[in-house]
Amino acid sequence: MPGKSKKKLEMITVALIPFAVAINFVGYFLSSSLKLPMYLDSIGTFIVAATCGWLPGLITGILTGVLEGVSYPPSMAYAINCAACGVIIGLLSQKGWMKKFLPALGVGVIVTLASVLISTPITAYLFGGITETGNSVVTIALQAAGFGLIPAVIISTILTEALDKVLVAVVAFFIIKAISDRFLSKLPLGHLYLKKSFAPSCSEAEDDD
Amino acid sequence: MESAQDIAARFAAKKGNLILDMYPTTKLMAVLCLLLASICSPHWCFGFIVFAVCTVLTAYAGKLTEYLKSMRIILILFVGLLTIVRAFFYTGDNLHYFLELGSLHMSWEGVASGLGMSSIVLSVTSPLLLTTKTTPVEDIVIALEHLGLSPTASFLVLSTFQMVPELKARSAVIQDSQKSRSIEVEGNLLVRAKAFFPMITPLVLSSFASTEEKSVALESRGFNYECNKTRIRVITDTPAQKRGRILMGVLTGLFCVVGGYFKWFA
Repeated sequence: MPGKSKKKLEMITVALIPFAVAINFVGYFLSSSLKLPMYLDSIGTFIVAATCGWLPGLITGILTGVLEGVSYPPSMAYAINCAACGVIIGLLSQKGWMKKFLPALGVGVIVTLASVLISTPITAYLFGGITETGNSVVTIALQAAGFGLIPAVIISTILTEALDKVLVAVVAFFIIKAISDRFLSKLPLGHLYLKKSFAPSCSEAEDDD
Repeated sequence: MESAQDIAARFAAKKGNLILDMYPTTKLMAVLCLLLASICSPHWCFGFIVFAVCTVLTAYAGKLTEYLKSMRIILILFVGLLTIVRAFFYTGDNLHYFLELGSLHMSWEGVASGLGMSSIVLSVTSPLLLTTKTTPVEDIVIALEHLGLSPTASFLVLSTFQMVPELKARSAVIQDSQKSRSIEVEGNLLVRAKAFFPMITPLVLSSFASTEEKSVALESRGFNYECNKTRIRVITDTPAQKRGRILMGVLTGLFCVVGGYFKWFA
Protein backbone atom coordinates (compact mmCIF):
# COMPACT_ATOMS: atom_id res chain seq x y z
CA MET A 1 0.00 0.00 0.00
CA PRO A 2 1.46 3.42 -0.92
CA GLY A 3 0.34 5.20 2.28
CA LYS A 4 -1.58 4.45 5.44
CA SER A 5 -4.72 6.13 6.68
CA LYS A 6 -4.26 7.75 10.08
CA LYS A 7 -7.48 9.07 11.63
CA LYS A 8 -7.08 12.07 13.88
CA LEU A 9 -10.38 13.98 13.65
CA GLU A 10 -13.24 12.04 12.07
CA MET A 11 -13.59 12.98 8.41
CA ILE A 12 -17.21 14.02 8.90
CA THR A 13 -16.12 16.34 11.73
CA VAL A 14 -13.48 17.90 9.47
CA ALA A 15 -16.18 18.48 6.81
CA LEU A 16 -18.64 19.87 9.43
CA ILE A 17 -16.35 22.48 11.02
CA PRO A 18 -16.29 24.93 8.03
CA PHE A 19 -20.11 24.77 7.88
CA ALA A 20 -20.27 25.51 11.60
CA VAL A 21 -18.04 28.58 11.20
CA ALA A 22 -20.17 29.75 8.29
CA ILE A 23 -23.34 29.19 10.38
CA ASN A 24 -21.81 31.43 13.08
CA PHE A 25 -21.50 34.21 10.49
CA VAL A 26 -24.96 33.60 9.06
CA GLY A 27 -26.44 33.66 12.59
CA TYR A 28 -24.96 37.13 13.11
CA PHE A 29 -26.09 38.20 9.63
CA LEU A 30 -29.71 37.03 10.27
CA SER A 31 -29.72 38.64 13.72
CA SER A 32 -28.62 41.96 12.18
CA SER A 33 -31.19 41.78 9.38
CA LEU A 34 -33.96 41.02 11.93
CA LYS A 35 -32.58 43.89 14.09
CA LEU A 36 -32.28 41.70 17.19
CA PRO A 37 -30.24 43.12 20.11
CA MET A 38 -28.06 39.98 20.20
CA TYR A 39 -25.12 38.60 18.21
CA LEU A 40 -26.33 34.96 17.83
CA ASP A 41 -22.91 34.26 16.31
CA SER A 42 -22.01 31.03 18.11
CA ILE A 43 -24.77 28.63 17.00
CA GLY A 44 -22.32 26.65 14.86
CA THR A 45 -19.83 26.40 17.73
CA PHE A 46 -22.56 25.07 20.05
CA ILE A 47 -23.75 22.47 17.53
CA VAL A 48 -20.26 21.20 16.64
CA ALA A 49 -19.04 21.12 20.25
CA ALA A 50 -22.21 19.34 21.41
CA THR A 51 -22.15 16.69 18.68
CA CYS A 52 -18.43 16.26 17.99
CA GLY A 53 -16.60 17.16 21.20
CA TRP A 54 -14.42 19.83 22.74
CA LEU A 55 -11.60 19.77 20.15
CA PRO A 56 -13.84 20.50 17.13
CA GLY A 57 -15.54 23.16 19.30
CA LEU A 58 -12.14 24.73 20.02
CA ILE A 59 -11.17 24.67 16.33
CA THR A 60 -14.52 26.20 15.30
CA GLY A 61 -14.10 28.99 17.84
CA ILE A 62 -10.55 29.78 16.71
CA LEU A 63 -11.48 29.74 13.01
CA THR A 64 -14.46 32.05 13.68
CA GLY A 65 -12.20 34.54 15.44
CA VAL A 66 -9.54 34.36 12.72
CA LEU A 67 -12.07 34.80 9.92
CA GLU A 68 -13.67 37.79 11.64
CA GLY A 69 -10.18 39.22 12.11
CA VAL A 70 -9.45 39.17 8.37
CA SER A 71 -11.86 42.05 7.76
CA TYR A 72 -11.80 43.51 11.29
CA PRO A 73 -8.47 42.66 13.03
CA PRO A 74 -9.48 43.60 16.63
CA SER A 75 -11.95 40.63 16.55
CA MET A 76 -8.99 38.25 16.44
CA ALA A 77 -8.23 39.07 20.05
CA TYR A 78 -11.57 37.45 20.98
CA ALA A 79 -10.75 34.17 19.19
CA ILE A 80 -9.54 32.82 22.53
CA ASN A 81 -12.98 33.60 24.00
CA CYS A 82 -14.76 31.72 21.19
CA ALA A 83 -12.32 28.79 21.55
CA ALA A 84 -12.83 28.57 25.32
CA CYS A 85 -16.62 28.56 24.85
CA GLY A 86 -16.26 25.67 22.37
CA VAL A 87 -14.17 23.68 24.87
CA ILE A 88 -16.64 24.26 27.73
CA ILE A 89 -19.64 23.27 25.60
CA GLY A 90 -17.83 20.13 24.37
CA LEU A 91 -16.84 19.03 27.88
CA LEU A 92 -20.33 19.64 29.31
CA SER A 93 -21.95 17.89 26.33
CA GLN A 94 -19.83 14.78 26.95
CA LYS A 95 -21.52 14.64 30.37
CA GLY A 96 -24.92 14.86 28.66
CA TRP A 97 -25.78 18.48 29.49
CA MET A 98 -27.18 19.20 26.00
CA LYS A 99 -29.57 16.23 26.07
CA LYS A 100 -32.32 17.98 28.01
CA PHE A 101 -33.68 21.55 27.94
CA LEU A 102 -32.86 22.76 31.48
CA PRO A 103 -29.25 21.50 31.50
CA ALA A 104 -28.85 23.08 28.02
CA LEU A 105 -29.93 26.41 29.57
CA GLY A 106 -27.30 25.73 32.24
CA VAL A 107 -24.68 25.34 29.50
CA GLY A 108 -25.73 28.76 28.18
CA VAL A 109 -25.32 30.32 31.63
CA ILE A 110 -21.89 28.71 32.23
CA VAL A 111 -20.68 29.80 28.79
CA THR A 112 -21.91 33.35 29.54
CA LEU A 113 -19.86 33.45 32.75
CA ALA A 114 -16.77 32.08 31.01
CA SER A 115 -17.22 34.57 28.16
CA VAL A 116 -17.45 37.49 30.60
CA LEU A 117 -14.38 36.25 32.49
CA ILE A 118 -12.25 35.93 29.37
CA SER A 119 -13.42 38.88 27.29
CA THR A 120 -13.37 41.48 30.11
CA PRO A 121 -9.54 41.74 30.41
CA ILE A 122 -9.25 41.80 26.60
CA THR A 123 -11.80 44.61 26.25
CA ALA A 124 -10.51 46.58 29.23
CA TYR A 125 -6.72 46.31 28.92
CA LEU A 126 -6.30 45.93 25.17
CA PHE A 127 -9.10 48.20 23.91
CA GLY A 128 -9.80 50.48 26.89
CA GLY A 129 -13.42 49.31 27.09
CA ILE A 130 -14.18 50.20 23.46
CA THR A 131 -15.78 47.67 21.12
CA GLU A 132 -17.49 48.05 17.76
CA THR A 133 -20.87 47.18 19.30
CA GLY A 134 -23.26 49.19 21.49
CA ASN A 135 -21.42 47.82 24.57
CA SER A 136 -19.09 50.81 24.31
CA VAL A 137 -21.96 53.23 24.98
CA VAL A 138 -23.01 51.28 28.08
CA THR A 139 -19.39 51.10 29.32
CA ILE A 140 -18.87 54.86 28.81
CA ALA A 141 -22.19 55.67 30.54
CA LEU A 142 -21.27 53.47 33.52
CA GLN A 143 -17.82 55.07 33.76
CA ALA A 144 -19.44 58.54 33.69
CA ALA A 145 -21.70 57.35 36.54
CA GLY A 146 -18.61 56.60 38.62
CA PHE A 147 -17.91 52.93 37.91
CA GLY A 148 -14.32 51.84 37.31
CA LEU A 149 -13.28 50.48 33.90
CA ILE A 150 -13.36 46.78 34.87
CA PRO A 151 -16.77 46.86 36.63
CA ALA A 152 -18.23 48.89 33.73
CA VAL A 153 -16.96 46.37 31.16
CA ILE A 154 -18.19 43.41 33.24
CA ILE A 155 -21.70 44.86 33.57
CA SER A 156 -22.00 45.82 29.89
CA THR A 157 -20.66 42.40 28.79
CA ILE A 158 -23.07 40.50 31.07
CA LEU A 159 -26.02 42.49 29.72
CA THR A 160 -25.33 41.44 26.12
CA GLU A 161 -23.75 38.00 26.58
CA ALA A 162 -26.33 36.59 29.01
CA LEU A 163 -29.29 36.88 26.64
CA ASP A 164 -27.17 35.99 23.61
CA LYS A 165 -25.51 32.79 24.88
CA VAL A 166 -28.61 31.42 26.62
CA LEU A 167 -30.69 31.96 23.47
CA VAL A 168 -28.00 30.35 21.32
CA ALA A 169 -27.93 27.33 23.67
CA VAL A 170 -31.72 26.99 23.30
CA VAL A 171 -31.56 27.31 19.48
CA ALA A 172 -28.72 24.75 19.31
CA PHE A 173 -30.66 22.36 21.59
CA PHE A 174 -33.71 22.40 19.30
CA ILE A 175 -31.61 22.15 16.14
CA ILE A 176 -29.81 19.06 17.52
CA LYS A 177 -33.22 17.57 18.34
CA ALA A 178 -34.22 18.09 14.69
CA ILE A 179 -31.15 16.30 13.25
CA SER A 180 -31.92 12.83 11.92
CA ASP A 181 -30.71 9.75 13.82
CA ARG A 182 -28.97 8.62 10.62
CA PHE A 183 -26.69 11.64 10.65
CA LEU A 184 -26.30 11.76 14.46
CA SER A 185 -25.06 8.15 14.48
CA LYS A 186 -22.05 9.26 12.40
CA LEU A 187 -20.96 12.02 14.78
CA PRO A 188 -18.58 11.31 17.69
CA LEU A 189 -21.09 12.43 20.37
CA GLY A 190 -24.20 11.84 18.25
CA HIS A 191 -25.09 8.70 20.21
CA LEU A 192 -26.07 10.93 23.14
CA TYR A 193 -28.90 12.47 21.15
CA LEU A 194 -30.34 9.44 19.32
CA LYS A 195 -34.12 9.42 19.58
CA LYS A 196 -34.34 5.63 19.36
CA SER A 197 -32.13 3.17 21.16
CA PHE A 198 -30.63 0.59 18.79
CA ALA A 199 -28.96 -1.50 21.52
CA PRO A 200 -30.67 -4.87 22.13
CA SER A 201 -32.42 -4.99 25.50
CA CYS A 202 -31.36 -7.55 28.15
CA SER A 203 -34.70 -9.43 27.93
CA GLU A 204 -34.27 -9.91 24.15
CA ALA A 205 -30.78 -11.36 24.73
CA GLU A 206 -32.16 -13.76 27.35
CA ASP A 207 -34.96 -14.88 25.01
CA ASP A 208 -32.35 -15.75 22.36
CA ASP A 209 -30.57 -17.97 24.89
CA MET B 1 -7.33 23.74 -22.93
CA GLU B 2 -4.84 24.90 -20.25
CA SER B 3 -2.51 22.15 -19.05
CA ALA B 4 -1.69 21.61 -15.38
CA GLN B 5 1.78 23.10 -15.96
CA ASP B 6 0.26 26.23 -17.53
CA ILE B 7 -2.13 26.68 -14.59
CA ALA B 8 0.73 26.21 -12.11
CA ALA B 9 2.89 28.69 -14.06
CA ARG B 10 0.03 31.23 -14.01
CA PHE B 11 -0.27 30.98 -10.22
CA ALA B 12 3.53 31.18 -9.77
CA ALA B 13 3.94 34.21 -12.08
CA LYS B 14 5.35 37.27 -10.38
CA LYS B 15 3.21 40.42 -10.40
CA GLY B 16 6.20 42.77 -10.51
CA ASN B 17 5.25 44.45 -7.21
CA LEU B 18 7.48 44.06 -4.14
CA ILE B 19 4.53 43.87 -1.71
CA LEU B 20 2.32 41.59 -3.82
CA ASP B 21 5.23 39.20 -4.55
CA MET B 22 6.53 39.12 -0.97
CA TYR B 23 6.49 35.67 0.64
CA PRO B 24 3.53 35.47 3.11
CA THR B 25 5.73 34.32 6.03
CA THR B 26 7.73 37.55 5.73
CA LYS B 27 4.54 39.62 6.05
CA LEU B 28 3.27 37.54 9.01
CA MET B 29 6.67 37.85 10.71
CA ALA B 30 6.46 41.63 10.24
CA VAL B 31 3.05 41.66 11.98
CA LEU B 32 4.45 39.72 14.95
CA CYS B 33 7.58 41.89 15.19
CA LEU B 34 5.55 45.11 15.06
CA LEU B 35 3.21 43.83 17.80
CA LEU B 36 6.14 43.07 20.12
CA ALA B 37 7.89 46.34 19.25
CA SER B 38 4.74 48.40 19.88
CA ILE B 39 4.26 46.83 23.34
CA CYS B 40 7.86 47.73 24.27
CA SER B 41 7.91 51.11 22.52
CA PRO B 42 8.36 53.98 25.02
CA HIS B 43 6.43 56.48 22.86
CA TRP B 44 2.89 56.38 21.47
CA CYS B 45 3.91 57.71 18.04
CA PHE B 46 5.28 54.24 17.08
CA GLY B 47 1.87 52.89 16.06
CA PHE B 48 1.01 55.99 14.04
CA ILE B 49 4.33 55.75 12.13
CA VAL B 50 3.56 52.06 11.42
CA PHE B 51 0.07 53.04 10.18
CA ALA B 52 1.53 55.73 7.88
CA VAL B 53 4.13 53.33 6.45
CA CYS B 54 1.55 50.55 5.92
CA THR B 55 -0.79 53.01 4.17
CA VAL B 56 1.99 54.01 1.77
CA LEU B 57 2.91 50.36 1.11
CA THR B 58 -0.75 49.41 0.52
CA ALA B 59 -1.09 52.32 -1.93
CA TYR B 60 2.04 51.03 -3.71
CA ALA B 61 0.39 47.57 -3.90
CA GLY B 62 -2.76 49.13 -5.38
CA LYS B 63 -5.15 48.10 -2.55
CA LEU B 64 -5.55 51.47 -0.81
CA THR B 65 -9.36 51.78 -1.09
CA GLU B 66 -10.11 48.41 0.54
CA TYR B 67 -7.45 49.02 3.18
CA LEU B 68 -8.84 52.43 4.18
CA LYS B 69 -12.41 51.09 4.15
CA SER B 70 -11.43 48.56 6.86
CA MET B 71 -9.19 51.01 8.74
CA ARG B 72 -11.90 53.69 8.91
CA ILE B 73 -13.88 52.06 11.73
CA ILE B 74 -10.64 51.22 13.59
CA LEU B 75 -9.44 54.81 13.39
CA ILE B 76 -12.80 56.18 14.56
CA LEU B 77 -13.23 53.73 17.45
CA PHE B 78 -9.75 52.79 18.60
CA VAL B 79 -7.98 56.09 18.02
CA GLY B 80 -10.65 58.78 18.26
CA LEU B 81 -13.16 57.40 20.77
CA LEU B 82 -10.61 55.46 22.83
CA THR B 83 -8.38 58.52 23.32
CA ILE B 84 -11.33 60.72 24.30
CA VAL B 85 -12.69 58.12 26.75
CA ARG B 86 -9.26 57.54 28.36
CA ALA B 87 -8.71 61.31 28.57
CA PHE B 88 -11.96 61.70 30.54
CA PHE B 89 -11.79 58.63 32.76
CA TYR B 90 -8.06 58.13 33.38
CA THR B 91 -7.29 57.86 37.08
CA GLY B 92 -4.00 58.62 38.75
CA ASP B 93 -2.10 61.10 40.95
CA ASN B 94 -1.13 64.65 39.92
CA LEU B 95 -3.15 64.73 36.72
CA HIS B 96 -2.97 67.87 34.56
CA TYR B 97 -6.47 68.78 33.42
CA PHE B 98 -7.00 70.98 30.38
CA LEU B 99 -10.77 70.71 29.71
CA GLU B 100 -13.86 70.56 31.90
CA LEU B 101 -17.28 69.27 30.81
CA GLY B 102 -19.64 69.34 33.77
CA SER B 103 -18.27 66.90 36.34
CA LEU B 104 -15.91 65.29 33.79
CA HIS B 105 -12.32 66.45 33.31
CA MET B 106 -9.89 65.72 30.48
CA SER B 107 -6.26 65.18 31.43
CA TRP B 108 -3.05 65.12 29.37
CA GLU B 109 -2.04 61.87 31.08
CA GLY B 110 -5.36 60.32 29.94
CA VAL B 111 -4.73 61.48 26.38
CA ALA B 112 -1.22 59.94 26.47
CA SER B 113 -2.66 56.68 27.85
CA GLY B 114 -5.33 56.60 25.13
CA LEU B 115 -2.78 57.30 22.41
CA GLY B 116 -0.53 54.58 23.83
CA MET B 117 -3.31 51.98 23.60
CA SER B 118 -4.27 53.22 20.11
CA SER B 119 -0.63 52.86 19.08
CA ILE B 120 -0.63 49.15 19.95
CA VAL B 121 -3.92 48.56 18.13
CA LEU B 122 -2.64 50.41 15.03
CA SER B 123 0.70 48.54 15.12
CA VAL B 124 -1.12 45.24 14.76
CA THR B 125 -4.14 46.10 12.62
CA SER B 126 -2.26 48.09 9.94
CA PRO B 127 0.26 45.39 8.92
CA LEU B 128 -2.38 42.68 9.38
CA LEU B 129 -4.78 44.42 6.99
CA LEU B 130 -1.88 45.09 4.60
CA THR B 131 -1.13 41.34 4.66
CA THR B 132 -4.73 40.18 4.18
CA LYS B 133 -5.47 42.71 1.42
CA THR B 134 -2.29 41.99 -0.56
CA THR B 135 -1.98 38.21 -0.10
CA PRO B 136 -4.49 35.58 -1.26
CA VAL B 137 -5.59 33.27 1.57
CA GLU B 138 -4.36 30.27 -0.41
CA ASP B 139 -0.79 31.67 -0.43
CA ILE B 140 -0.88 32.31 3.34
CA VAL B 141 -2.05 28.74 3.95
CA ILE B 142 0.63 27.25 1.65
CA ALA B 143 3.32 29.28 3.46
CA LEU B 144 2.00 27.95 6.80
CA GLU B 145 2.05 24.40 5.35
CA HIS B 146 5.74 24.90 4.54
CA LEU B 147 6.18 25.76 8.24
CA GLY B 148 4.45 22.53 9.29
CA LEU B 149 0.69 23.19 9.22
CA SER B 150 -1.18 19.96 8.48
CA PRO B 151 -3.21 19.55 5.24
CA THR B 152 -6.32 19.04 7.43
CA ALA B 153 -5.84 22.48 8.99
CA SER B 154 -5.25 23.98 5.50
CA PHE B 155 -8.49 22.41 4.30
CA LEU B 156 -10.38 23.76 7.32
CA VAL B 157 -9.16 27.32 6.73
CA LEU B 158 -9.70 27.36 2.95
CA SER B 159 -13.06 25.57 3.09
CA THR B 160 -14.29 28.04 5.71
CA PHE B 161 -13.39 31.01 3.50
CA GLN B 162 -15.32 29.42 0.62
CA MET B 163 -18.28 28.36 2.76
CA VAL B 164 -19.20 31.74 4.31
CA PRO B 165 -20.35 33.57 1.14
CA GLU B 166 -22.04 30.36 -0.10
CA LEU B 167 -24.09 29.99 3.10
CA LYS B 168 -24.90 33.71 3.22
CA ALA B 169 -26.38 33.45 -0.31
CA ARG B 170 -28.33 30.34 0.71
CA SER B 171 -29.66 32.07 3.84
CA ALA B 172 -30.92 35.00 1.72
CA VAL B 173 -32.88 32.50 -0.43
CA ILE B 174 -34.31 30.78 2.68
CA GLN B 175 -35.20 34.19 4.15
CA ASP B 176 -37.20 35.10 1.03
CA SER B 177 -38.95 31.74 0.87
CA GLN B 178 -39.92 31.92 4.57
CA LYS B 179 -41.23 35.47 4.09
CA SER B 180 -43.39 34.17 1.22
CA ARG B 181 -44.78 31.60 3.73
CA SER B 182 -46.02 34.54 5.87
CA ILE B 183 -43.27 34.40 8.48
CA GLU B 184 -43.43 37.87 10.07
CA VAL B 185 -40.08 39.67 10.08
CA GLU B 186 -41.36 43.15 10.97
CA GLY B 187 -42.89 44.15 14.25
CA ASN B 188 -41.96 44.05 17.91
CA LEU B 189 -38.90 42.24 19.32
CA LEU B 190 -40.79 39.00 20.07
CA VAL B 191 -42.19 38.75 16.54
CA ARG B 192 -38.73 39.29 15.00
CA ALA B 193 -37.08 36.85 17.43
CA LYS B 194 -39.68 34.17 16.54
CA ALA B 195 -38.71 34.57 12.86
CA PHE B 196 -35.09 33.64 13.59
CA PHE B 197 -35.62 29.92 14.25
CA PRO B 198 -37.48 29.05 11.00
CA MET B 199 -34.77 30.89 9.07
CA ILE B 200 -31.70 29.25 10.62
CA THR B 201 -33.00 25.69 11.00
CA PRO B 202 -33.50 24.80 7.28
CA LEU B 203 -30.06 26.24 6.56
CA VAL B 204 -28.35 24.17 9.25
CA LEU B 205 -30.17 20.93 8.42
CA SER B 206 -29.52 21.26 4.66
CA SER B 207 -25.83 21.91 5.44
CA PHE B 208 -25.59 18.51 7.12
CA ALA B 209 -26.51 16.74 3.88
CA SER B 210 -23.71 18.62 2.08
CA THR B 211 -21.34 17.70 4.93
CA GLU B 212 -21.93 13.98 4.41
CA GLU B 213 -21.24 14.25 0.67
CA LYS B 214 -18.10 16.30 1.30
CA SER B 215 -16.68 13.82 3.82
CA VAL B 216 -17.27 10.92 1.39
CA ALA B 217 -15.60 12.93 -1.41
CA LEU B 218 -12.57 13.65 0.81
CA GLU B 219 -12.23 9.99 1.86
CA SER B 220 -12.53 8.76 -1.73
CA ARG B 221 -9.69 11.08 -2.78
CA GLY B 222 -7.35 9.74 -0.06
CA PHE B 223 -7.34 12.99 1.92
CA ASN B 224 -6.29 11.26 5.13
CA TYR B 225 -3.53 9.16 3.56
CA GLU B 226 -0.02 10.01 4.70
CA CYS B 227 1.95 10.60 1.54
CA ASN B 228 3.57 13.50 -0.30
CA LYS B 229 0.85 15.87 -1.41
CA THR B 230 1.12 17.79 -4.67
CA ARG B 231 -0.05 21.35 -5.18
CA ILE B 232 -1.01 23.24 -8.29
CA ARG B 233 -0.35 26.55 -6.55
CA VAL B 234 3.34 27.11 -5.78
CA ILE B 235 4.93 29.99 -3.91
CA THR B 236 8.67 30.39 -3.57
CA ASP B 237 10.72 31.81 -0.77
CA THR B 238 13.97 33.57 -1.57
CA PRO B 239 17.27 33.50 0.39
CA ALA B 240 17.10 37.32 0.60
CA GLN B 241 13.70 37.13 2.34
CA LYS B 242 14.96 34.41 4.71
CA ARG B 243 17.89 36.65 5.69
CA GLY B 244 15.46 39.58 5.96
CA ARG B 245 13.28 37.66 8.42
CA ILE B 246 16.28 36.78 10.60
CA LEU B 247 17.37 40.43 10.55
CA MET B 248 13.79 41.50 11.45
CA GLY B 249 13.80 39.17 14.43
CA VAL B 250 17.18 40.41 15.67
CA LEU B 251 16.26 44.09 15.27
CA THR B 252 12.91 43.52 17.03
CA GLY B 253 14.66 41.80 19.91
CA LEU B 254 17.10 44.70 20.29
CA PHE B 255 14.30 47.27 20.05
CA CYS B 256 12.26 45.42 22.69
CA VAL B 257 15.22 45.32 25.10
CA VAL B 258 16.20 48.98 24.65
CA GLY B 259 12.63 50.30 24.34
CA GLY B 260 11.42 48.19 27.25
CA TYR B 261 14.23 49.52 29.45
CA PHE B 262 13.27 53.14 28.73
CA LYS B 263 9.54 52.41 29.02
CA TRP B 264 9.52 50.52 32.33
CA PHE B 265 12.82 51.02 34.13
CA ALA B 266 14.31 54.40 33.20
